[in-house]
Amino acid sequence: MKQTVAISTFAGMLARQSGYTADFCERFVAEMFKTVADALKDSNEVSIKGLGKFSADEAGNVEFTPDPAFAADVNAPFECFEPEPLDDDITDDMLSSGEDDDRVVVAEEDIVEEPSETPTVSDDDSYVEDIEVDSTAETTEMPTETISDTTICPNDESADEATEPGLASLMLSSENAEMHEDVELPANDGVDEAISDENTEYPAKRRRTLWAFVCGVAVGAIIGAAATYIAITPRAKSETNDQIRENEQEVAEELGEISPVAPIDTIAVQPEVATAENTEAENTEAEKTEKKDSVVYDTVTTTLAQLSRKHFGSYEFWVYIYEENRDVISNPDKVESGTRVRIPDVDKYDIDANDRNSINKALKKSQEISGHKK
Amino acid sequence: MDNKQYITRLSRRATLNYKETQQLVASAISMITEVLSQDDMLAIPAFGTFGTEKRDEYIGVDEKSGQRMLFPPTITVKFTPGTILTKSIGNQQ
Repeated sequence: MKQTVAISTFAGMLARQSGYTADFCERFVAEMFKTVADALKDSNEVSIKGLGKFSADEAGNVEFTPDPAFAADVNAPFECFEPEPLDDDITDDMLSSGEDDDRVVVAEEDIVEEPSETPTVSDDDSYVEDIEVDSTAETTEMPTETISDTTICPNDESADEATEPGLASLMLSSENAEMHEDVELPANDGVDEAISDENTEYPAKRRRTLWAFVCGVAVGAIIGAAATYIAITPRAKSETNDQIRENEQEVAEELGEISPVAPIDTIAVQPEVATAENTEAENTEAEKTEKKDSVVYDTVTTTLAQLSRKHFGSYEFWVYIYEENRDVISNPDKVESGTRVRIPDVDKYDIDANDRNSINKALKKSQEISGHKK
Repeated sequence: MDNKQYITRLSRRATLNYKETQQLVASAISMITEVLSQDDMLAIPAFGTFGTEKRDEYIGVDEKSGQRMLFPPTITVKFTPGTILTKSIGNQQ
């Protein structure tokens, strides 16, 4: 996340690291770069050890060449990588990833579009489902003539249309219903003779499928009935229990006193209340322990401002980390690296890096702290 | 102007001795490094802005061996001079 650090914020960070006051550090940093600007007017080059070289041309254009050590520190995340030699068989086309990506996308689109022209699996599914509804209605009235006709139905076509083997088997049973109505059978004299032997075996298969269908419906009905029974009965019981309790209470009120048997309910209720209280107490304790556990700790590496930047998104909120850790940190300007500090909750101090008022409040507090120090 | 001359001139301006100035400049540079390593920018009024620029990995040819190499990504320091600085140097020269 790019964030522009102002010189005042930078001076505050430098003050905490160096031990000088923030005002002095701000003046020093301003003077540091003013000296460079003045020196560039006198001589065209100014080199600062550890930072780099500033050079100016006649037109006033200033160029900065960072010191190798400075550049290496900034490039620390990628410092471990080294240039890798490429094999000769790797061509530029293979490595131009951007163009390759486009090609891949185009190729994928082609692949996706092509099958859409031919009947897809989803089309087959809907086709099969539609027919199944019809077939269930007609199977009971299935005349024997149609059965003999449907045996001639071209299985090869159904196998071609159905892309999955399971669908093919479904189509066998479902297509039969429609084929005898819509399709005019071609003249298959030769084929009839060849298939005539199979016609004798087919009704038996058909009966088996019918029996399987009937059994399936019966099992489904039994399961459905059982499920509805289970779903309804507890509610009925609870309703009856409530009714009984109400009746008992009414009777007790009429008698003017609660019978000694009645405390069965009260006895049953009291532990519930007690347990409810206990569970509430446990919950609050659990919340407290969770809150205790949710306290974030971190270790100071350089300054509190860096921690503030890391956790709150801005350097200015270091004051709240200091406030939270006054017992550990005696001087916020000189925090030993490796000090373990508690990171305060964002809501506790109303910390919001996007809110200018929140940042101003933190700045005011930091000025107060630096004023106390003086 | 080399580093020694620069520190001497700065120490006179900041009313510090040479060693203190040297230490404070080193601290300031380490803080600049920290700010830039967070991918942030440092704006110095009337001077310019220090920032970073990430360059993606690229293919280049090693000048010595002539072999094609895959160079890793890098983060480089980028300095943008301010208008006041550019104008003041341009007018002076």
